[in-house]
Amino acid sequence: MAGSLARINLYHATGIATLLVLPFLLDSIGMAFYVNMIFLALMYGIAALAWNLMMGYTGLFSLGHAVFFGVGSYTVAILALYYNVTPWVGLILAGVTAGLLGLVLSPPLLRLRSHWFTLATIALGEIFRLSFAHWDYVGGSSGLQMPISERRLYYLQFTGATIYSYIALGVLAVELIVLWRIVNSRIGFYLQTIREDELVAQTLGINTFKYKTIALAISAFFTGIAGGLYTVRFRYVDPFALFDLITISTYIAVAGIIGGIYTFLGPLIGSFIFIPVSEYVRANIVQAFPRIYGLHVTVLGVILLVISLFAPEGILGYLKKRREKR
Amino acid sequence: MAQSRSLALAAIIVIVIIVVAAALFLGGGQEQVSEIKIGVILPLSGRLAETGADLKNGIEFAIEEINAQGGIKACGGAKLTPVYGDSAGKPETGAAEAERLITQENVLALVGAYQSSVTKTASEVAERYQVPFVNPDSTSPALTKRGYKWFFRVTPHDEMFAAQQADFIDWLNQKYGLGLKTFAIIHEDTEFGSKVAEAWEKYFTQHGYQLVEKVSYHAATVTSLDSEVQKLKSKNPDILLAASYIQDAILLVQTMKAQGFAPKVFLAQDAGFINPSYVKQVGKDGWYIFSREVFSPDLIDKIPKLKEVNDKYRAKYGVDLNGNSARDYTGIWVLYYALEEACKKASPANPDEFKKALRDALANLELSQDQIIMPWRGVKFDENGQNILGQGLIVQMFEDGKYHVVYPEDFAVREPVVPFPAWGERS
Repeated sequence: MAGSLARINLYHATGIATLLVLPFLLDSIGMAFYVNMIFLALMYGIAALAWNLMMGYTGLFSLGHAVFFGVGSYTVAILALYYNVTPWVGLILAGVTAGLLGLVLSPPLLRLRSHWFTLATIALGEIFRLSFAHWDYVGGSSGLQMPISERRLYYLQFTGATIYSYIALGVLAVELIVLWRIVNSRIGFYLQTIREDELVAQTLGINTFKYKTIALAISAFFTGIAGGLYTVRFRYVDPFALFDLITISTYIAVAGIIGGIYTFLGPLIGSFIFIPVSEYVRANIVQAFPRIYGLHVTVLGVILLVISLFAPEGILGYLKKRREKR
Repeated sequence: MAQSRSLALAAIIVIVIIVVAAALFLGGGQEQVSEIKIGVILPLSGRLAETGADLKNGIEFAIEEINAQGGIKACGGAKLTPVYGDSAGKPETGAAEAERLITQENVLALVGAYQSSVTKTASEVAERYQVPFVNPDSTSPALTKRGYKWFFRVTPHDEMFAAQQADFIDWLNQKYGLGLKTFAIIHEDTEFGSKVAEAWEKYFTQHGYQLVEKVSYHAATVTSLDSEVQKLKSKNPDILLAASYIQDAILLVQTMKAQGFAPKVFLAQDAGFINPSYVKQVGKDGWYIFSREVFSPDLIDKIPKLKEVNDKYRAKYGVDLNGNSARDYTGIWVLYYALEEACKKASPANPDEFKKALRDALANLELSQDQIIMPWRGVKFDENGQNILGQGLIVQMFEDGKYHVVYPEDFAVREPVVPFPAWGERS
């Protein structure tokens, strides 16, 4: 378990190569739908990896990551709209704002344990949704839309998802390096000790509050950038789409759980399974059975059920276990 | 050994991806001028799926009618082919679907998307790709304040409705000599209620009415409106304007009855007040309340074309046309008239030129009342793409427990009952 990046194997290389080639390839043959799928999988993947620093490594199950995601989104939108700040800078500041919010929220949040913590994160999402819906400065319930600008590079306004996919890939690369270094450092081991038993960690002299705060802030930072990617891609923010318990908070968690929370890359893999499947199912089941409302959600539910029955440790966790058995 | 196996696996993955992508590419994308593809973005899944199905029926039905009567005649009888995109009620999905329909399906125009937030992102994509976007059904005034060149909204928006409601009060004063001077507003506090209240304040003040009280509440959590109604009653307004959802609308009416608060005119803004479950639950207490509407079964007697369309529609879907299906049906017909014009100027075989011609045709379109089934004066877009000939209806609930049209006079089937009778003086 050496903490070096030299452990890149052939699977990783294939994955990297595919991700680098695919958006361009699909775009050049006019498959906009699939490029968007990749973008979404990357956006959710970035958030899910960040979420998993809390879940898989620290044992903090958050269902409120929409808060950091949404605050990141709004940061990019407000900076560009009101202060003419380019989203290139806005994306970083989205992470900073979300990270700071994580720091501010940690004293009340991190005093809560297990399911109490989860419930509090759900409530937090609702609080942010309602507050933003009633806050005129951020557009209230109408949200904010970026005007179409000729300064395309400055305001990052492109047609299609291809360029945004490569920006997301860049973010992902930075995130993977940062998270890999963290989880393999002293901090990473402290976090995992906290996950296993917080009392034991305390008796060992670990300042558990401090390290949980670090995990929360870093997790919020990258989730905020994922939210910023949403804004640059769709150029519109509104409280109902962004502070959504299901399509943001829960999707992030589901991606992580499907992929495997006790693996490093699991959440990313999970996102690349869950998001395309849910998009594909939504687009096709709705067309095929237009009169049966919500059928696609049922299909998604069945898929989740199957995974929970046969691979409760997630796809990557399952593969890892099988390899270890052999 | 393990090394070469993973190498083979990697190679297979890459090959499969390329083959699948190529197959998908070759599978789609053939083009014929015998059909004109239009993209339709609607909330077909998610919370609004049922509304989406209604909207889709209206669209499907209009397209069938157009194709049955010989398609687009100026384009050699080319048939309209809809390609549907599901927004799932989410702005980001609406935008992605707009992209897919434009770049993958090569549609020549887009229609949609019901929710204002989804219409915002989907039409932004269309504007970038320079594809005409016909919006039959979103009412946020902001949509036509963006300076877009490719966006055309057929339905009236919320500010137009508010202005018309002020006209209605003027009309009541003139015709019935009610001497209405002061007004009060009660509204739920999400975007819908807040924006409506803002518009009311603006237009009623412009018309010389005096605002005496404005109260709001949160519909999702409200359990009592006692103090709100007390506040309103103490100011004794001539007119009460209300923007509510369903349960809070019922609560408001019941509280007013309990406190004996009966302003001369009680005018509501659509939404909860016209919902069937409100009508059912409120019963007799709902009588004589006015509401804004976009459509009414009464219109069948007033718009000759509507009866025929509605009969066929009911035969096919088992329900009457409603405000949603009728508006989307109208949107497709508006697009049809513009397509006929565009086909005279350009050929769909040359998509870029054709889309420009279609945009110009929409911008110059003029339809009269007898060409549409909506209670409007016609269709004509201003430079922001807003149909300036659209209007709403004012309906009032009568003793049969149904709403009937009382205004504008061209479409009215009943005389309004004014002033609003005191609660104790009802049969």
